[in-house]
Amino acid sequence: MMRNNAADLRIDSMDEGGGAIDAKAWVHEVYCRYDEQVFRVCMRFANGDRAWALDCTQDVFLRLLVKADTVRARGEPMAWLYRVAVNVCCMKLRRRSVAGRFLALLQARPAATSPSAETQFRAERAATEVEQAIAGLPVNQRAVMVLMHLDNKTQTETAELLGISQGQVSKLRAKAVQTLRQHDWDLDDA
Amino acid sequence: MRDFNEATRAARERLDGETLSAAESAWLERALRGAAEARPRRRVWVLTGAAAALATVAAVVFFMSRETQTPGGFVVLSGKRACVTALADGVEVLASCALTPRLAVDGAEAELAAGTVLLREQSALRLRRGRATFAVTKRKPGEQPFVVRVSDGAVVVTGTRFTVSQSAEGGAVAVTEGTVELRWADGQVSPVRAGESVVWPRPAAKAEPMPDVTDELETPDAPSPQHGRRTTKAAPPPDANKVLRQLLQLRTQNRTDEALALLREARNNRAYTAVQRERFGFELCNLVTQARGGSEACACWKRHARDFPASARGEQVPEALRKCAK
Repeated sequence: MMRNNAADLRIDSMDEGGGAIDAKAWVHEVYCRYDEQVFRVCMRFANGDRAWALDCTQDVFLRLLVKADTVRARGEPMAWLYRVAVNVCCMKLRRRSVAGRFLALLQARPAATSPSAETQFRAERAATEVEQAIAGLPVNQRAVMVLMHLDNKTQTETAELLGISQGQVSKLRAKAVQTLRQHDWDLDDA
Repeated sequence: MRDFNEATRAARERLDGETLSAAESAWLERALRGAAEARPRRRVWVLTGAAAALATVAAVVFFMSRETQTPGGFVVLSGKRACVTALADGVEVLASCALTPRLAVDGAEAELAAGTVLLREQSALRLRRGRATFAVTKRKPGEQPFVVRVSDGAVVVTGTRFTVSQSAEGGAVAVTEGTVELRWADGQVSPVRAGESVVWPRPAAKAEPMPDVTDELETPDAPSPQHGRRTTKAAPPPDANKVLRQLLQLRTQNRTDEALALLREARNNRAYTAVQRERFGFELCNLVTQARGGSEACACWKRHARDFPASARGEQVPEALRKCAK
C-alpha cells in the first residue's frame, strides 16, 4: 500500500498507462494514501476512543465516494478530507449527549485490550488530561481548541475550516480558555 | 496550575503517532469497497427535471439499504453491513468487526458477535462458530419452533431471549428470558430456564453447570435460579466494570502497587466468571510487565497461560511467553 505524507499531494487522475482511472479506483487510491491521516484527524476529536475515530474515518471516505467527481476535479483531496473529517467529527459529537459520550468513554477505555489502551496508560498523564479537558468543552469550543492546539492551525485556518468568522473563533477560544483556567490549566490568552 | 502548552505538545506527539492497526485498516477498506460496489454509477446526463424522482429513489434506496437481504433469509437490520459477509447458505461476521450486527431471521432477531458463522439448515439455523444472542417472538401453539442447531444437538425455542456460543471444542446456551429446550444428539431433552446455562459436550451423561462464558465483562441482571438445579448464578455477580474503572483511576494516579493488588484479588475471586478472571489476569500481567518486568512478569504470564489455556487474547499471551523464553 503506497503512502505519502505530503498533505498537499495531488493525486493524478491518470493511471500508469496514461488512461483515465475511474472514480472508484481514484477513491481507493486516495484512501490508500490518506486513510491514516484522516484517522489521526478523527483521533484528535475522539478523546482516545479508537472505534469512534474509525467510524468517523469510514464516514469521511464514504462521503468522498459520493463526491468523488467534484473532489477529483478540484485536486488536493487531503484539504477536502481534512475539512470533511472535522465536520463529521463535530456533527457526531453534537449528536451525542455529553452524558452518553462520557459513559461510552468510561466503558471504552478500560474495556479495550488493544495496544492503544496500553499506549494510553504509558503515555504521559498530562496528554491524557489535556485531551479530556478539551473533550469536556462544548462542541464549538472543543473544535477550535482541537484545531488550534492539537493540530497547530492558525486562527484564520480554523475559521475557514469551521466555516465561521475569525471573530467567532476568537470568542470561542476565549470562552474555552476561561473554562480551562477554572480547571487549573495555565494557558495564554493569545 | 498545569502547563497547557506542555500537555498539548505531549498530546500532539501521541496523536501523531496513532496508526491504524492491520485489522482496522482491513475493516475500513472492506467497508469502502462494499459501499463502492453498492453505489450505482452517477449519470451526468440526468435532467434536472428528474431531481424529484431521483430524490424519491434515493429515499427508497436509503431505507432499503438499512435492511440488506442475504441468502438464507437473513436480513441485516443494523450495525456495519460491511461486517456481514453473505455465504451461500448463511452469514459470517468479520472477526475484525468492532460493532455487533443485528439480523432478522425466521421471526427472530439475532445479534452476532465478531467471527460468528450462522447458517441456514432447512427450517432451522446452525451456529457453526461464534456467539449469537437471539430474541424470539412468542410462537403460537402448533407453529414451528425456532431451532438453532449446534455441534451436540439443537436449541429449540418457542419465544424467549437466549445466547448460544459455539467453538471447535464445544459451546453453551444461556437463557435470559423464558425457557428453551436443549435436545441432545442422543435424543435427551434438557429444559434450560431463565438465568440458567448449559454447556456441551457433556463431561458425563448429564448436562453440567458451566461458568458463564457469554457475558464477557458485562454483568446483566439475571433472574434468580429456578428449581435448584444447574444454578449458574446463586448471587448477583460482582461488578467487573467497577474493578476496571478503579484500575484506570489507580493507574492514572500511578498507584501501581494498589492496582496490582486489586487485579490479583479480582483474578483470584471465584465469584467472577472465568472470562472476567481471565481478563483481570491479562491486565495484571500487562501491568506487572510494565512495572516490574523480568522474572516476575514471566512468572505471571506462565501462570496466566496455565490458568487460562483458552485465553481469547490471540497472539498476545504466546508473544509474551516467547519473549520470556529468550
